[in-house]
Amino acid sequence: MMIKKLKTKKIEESGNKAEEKDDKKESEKVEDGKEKLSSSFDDNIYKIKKSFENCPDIIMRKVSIGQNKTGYFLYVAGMVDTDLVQRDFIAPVLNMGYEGLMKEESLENLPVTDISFPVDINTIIDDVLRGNTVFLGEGIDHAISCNLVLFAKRSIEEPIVEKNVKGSHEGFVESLLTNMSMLRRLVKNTSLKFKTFKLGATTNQTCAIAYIEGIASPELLSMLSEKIKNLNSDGFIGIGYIEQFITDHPNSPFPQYLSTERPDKTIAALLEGKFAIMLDGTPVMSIVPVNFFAFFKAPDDYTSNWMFGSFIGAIRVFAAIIAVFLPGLYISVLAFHYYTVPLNLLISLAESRSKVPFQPLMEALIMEITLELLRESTIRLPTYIGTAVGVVGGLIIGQSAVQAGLVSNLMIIVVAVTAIASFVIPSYDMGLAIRFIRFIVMLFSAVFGIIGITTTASLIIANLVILESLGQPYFQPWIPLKLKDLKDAVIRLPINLHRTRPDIAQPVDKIRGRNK
Amino acid sequence: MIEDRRNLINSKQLMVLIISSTAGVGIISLPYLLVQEVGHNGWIAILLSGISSMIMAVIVFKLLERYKNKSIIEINLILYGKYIGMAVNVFYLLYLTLKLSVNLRIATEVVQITVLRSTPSIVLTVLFFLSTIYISWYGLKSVCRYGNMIFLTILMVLVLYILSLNKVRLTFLLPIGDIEIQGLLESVKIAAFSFLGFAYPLAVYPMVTDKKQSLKYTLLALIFSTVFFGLTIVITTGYFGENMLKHMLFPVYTLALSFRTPIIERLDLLFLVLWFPAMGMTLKGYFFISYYWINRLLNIKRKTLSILLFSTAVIIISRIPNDYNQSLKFLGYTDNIGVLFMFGMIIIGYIMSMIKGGHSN
Repeated sequence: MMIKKLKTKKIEESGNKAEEKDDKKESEKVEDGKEKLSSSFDDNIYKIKKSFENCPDIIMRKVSIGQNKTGYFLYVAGMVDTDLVQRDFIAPVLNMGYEGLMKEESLENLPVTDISFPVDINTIIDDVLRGNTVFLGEGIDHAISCNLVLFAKRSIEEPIVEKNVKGSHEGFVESLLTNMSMLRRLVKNTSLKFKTFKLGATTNQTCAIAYIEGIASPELLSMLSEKIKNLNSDGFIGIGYIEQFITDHPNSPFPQYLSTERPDKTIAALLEGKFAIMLDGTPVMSIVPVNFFAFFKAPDDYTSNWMFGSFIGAIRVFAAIIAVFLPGLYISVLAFHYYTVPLNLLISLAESRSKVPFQPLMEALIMEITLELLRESTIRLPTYIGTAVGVVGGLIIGQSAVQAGLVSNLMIIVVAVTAIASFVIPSYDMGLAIRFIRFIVMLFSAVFGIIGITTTASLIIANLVILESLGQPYFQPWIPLKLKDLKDAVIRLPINLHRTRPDIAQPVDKIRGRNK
Repeated sequence: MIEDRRNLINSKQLMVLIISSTAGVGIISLPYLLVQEVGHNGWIAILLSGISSMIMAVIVFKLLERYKNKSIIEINLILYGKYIGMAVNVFYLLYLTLKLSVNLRIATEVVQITVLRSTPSIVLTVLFFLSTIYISWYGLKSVCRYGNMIFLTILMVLVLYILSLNKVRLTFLLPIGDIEIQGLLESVKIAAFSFLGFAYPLAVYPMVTDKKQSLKYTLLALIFSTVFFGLTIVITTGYFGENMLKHMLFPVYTLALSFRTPIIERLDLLFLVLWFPAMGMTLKGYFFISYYWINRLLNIKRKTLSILLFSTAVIIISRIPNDYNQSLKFLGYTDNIGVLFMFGMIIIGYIMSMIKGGHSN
């Protein structure tokens, strides 16, 4: 079809050639700023060579195609399956010779699945960079581009930061196509769609929005598409770059996009009418719109009995409250409201504190900052060294700090409980937010006591009710109250009560499992 | 004028706004103020104030419905002309700003007297005001959404009331009705300050999306507030008795103070933790309305600058009284004029609209 179109264009152009000879160069430019292949083969090769100057990874293999004509095979070394290219593309093309290459039916019979016939230099270059093998022959007014990509990639493994007990153990990889195929394997339905975009002025990456047609809201899709289309940067190294660019409230510590490496979690979100933003080169998807409580959920909550799911969900939210407020509460109680501590505990607390020369805030900061240092160091270190650092931090520093009189025994308990509580939160982004807010709460509580904690709590709640994820209230279903969606916020009711999809993504089809 | 999406609310959110704005600061000292006038019959004053507020709410909506999609500010300009209308509006907004400032000071003083005695009052004022400024910047919808937190506070207070039920002596409320008319009127006036919730639709009516439902939800909000205030008066009077109550500045706080729990030695601190945001909610409602309409009337485009200037002005005004007692007196003066003005503005406005006749679009 493309060849036919191309030929028709060519005839039209040749008709006009005589009268518009001076405008020849202009007519070589086709729409979208793409430069059309010139009638001079040498010109074309020169331009391509110029583009690929100092790119030793780009191979330009010169061949003879008969009748004193030459051709070039172009590809990126390390991105193509050399065996297949030789057997199914180079050999048949050379066997066809010049005459064969001019015949449409011969080209259609080339034994490769994904083939195209680009007519402009920009597309040829793009194809080569994407991993296609492109043939350009003298006297032929189009190129032949075939997709026989094979490059080294990571195998599918379970995501390290999102382990799961009863569900699938697959995680996304860096290849966008592989990730798409993983989703397709789980949703064998044509309604699973991927809307793709080219991103990055320099990197030319592919980004896709995955959604399920008939469930996902078209308005939200166009809103998200518009945001992504308007992105303008050199490149996007990770999905977090895109999130930061398109987020509605960039100055809030709370994440408004749920990152995941799990296909099962992504599919669960798509089935609720949400969208998954996928980016070539990153194994992390970004799910949107999401509410605050989505960051406290793990796939296991849904694969086990609802009672356990609810119990664990409630524990996680409680853990988040502990992780944010416990050190601040310790500081405010010791510095301002010691009378709230029961007398028996107060005596032992006073004994322990009597050896500590610092203010409660300093004491808490020493331990919390040490803990943050330990945490950061163990994340970047290999597992075996990380464990050793954990031992050093947990046992030696903790015990020694008390013996040296730097901190009290209770402070160690507070820090330990806070750390464990913050580990309970499944989302890394939310964990970061909680760690950051904790320090603000500590500072406020050191100055204003319990009122400092209340003020920060008010500001946190104010922030949560202001936030929106893709235009949808972030703190729903609590504020604004959506009674029917409370079945899956903090606690999770039995699965048979989840007949309706949550409101947050404004799904077109609100009932689950309806036959279409 | 097309409203900003962030200011549009529905009737249920209007209800939350009214409840959260009325139940905040008022509840702390209302039993103390009422007992001075009508002794143990404070609940009668609450009931009468509640009923009169509901009647006023009906008149308010009658007036608003005559002028589709207009607030009292715009209606005043139509009814009284450019100059008199503007003067009425200035007085109205001045009253709201004064009430906001005094309430801010009272809330600050409550915190200083009960918890942070050494902390300078001005520091607490700024601290108190932070979330109000922050949330008002994001519009009425956010103010209303935040207002939902009042239900958590009310739930906590209800638990406190249930805990104290076994010590409530209903005989403290007897005999019913031995009040002098003058005292009753005075107490109804005091209670009416707390029920000025009906004044909210006046200012936010154009921002309500489902206007047909708004009267219903306003009345529901007023009924809720009447019941909650009435219950508070009954419980505090029944628990402490009339004579003791006369010497208590913050009866509900003192009620919380009288409980001991196993882990948290003092329940009063928990009460303050939960009541602190509730006091802030009263401020948020007043702040948004005054700030928003001042901006609209003066046609100010620079939102950040105007919100900072207005906040500074409110904080400065809030420093005028010297202490808690002076703040209460100041609030009394403000309300004496304000309530008359509000009632007058609504009733005269309604009569004027009927005289002028016709509906304006």
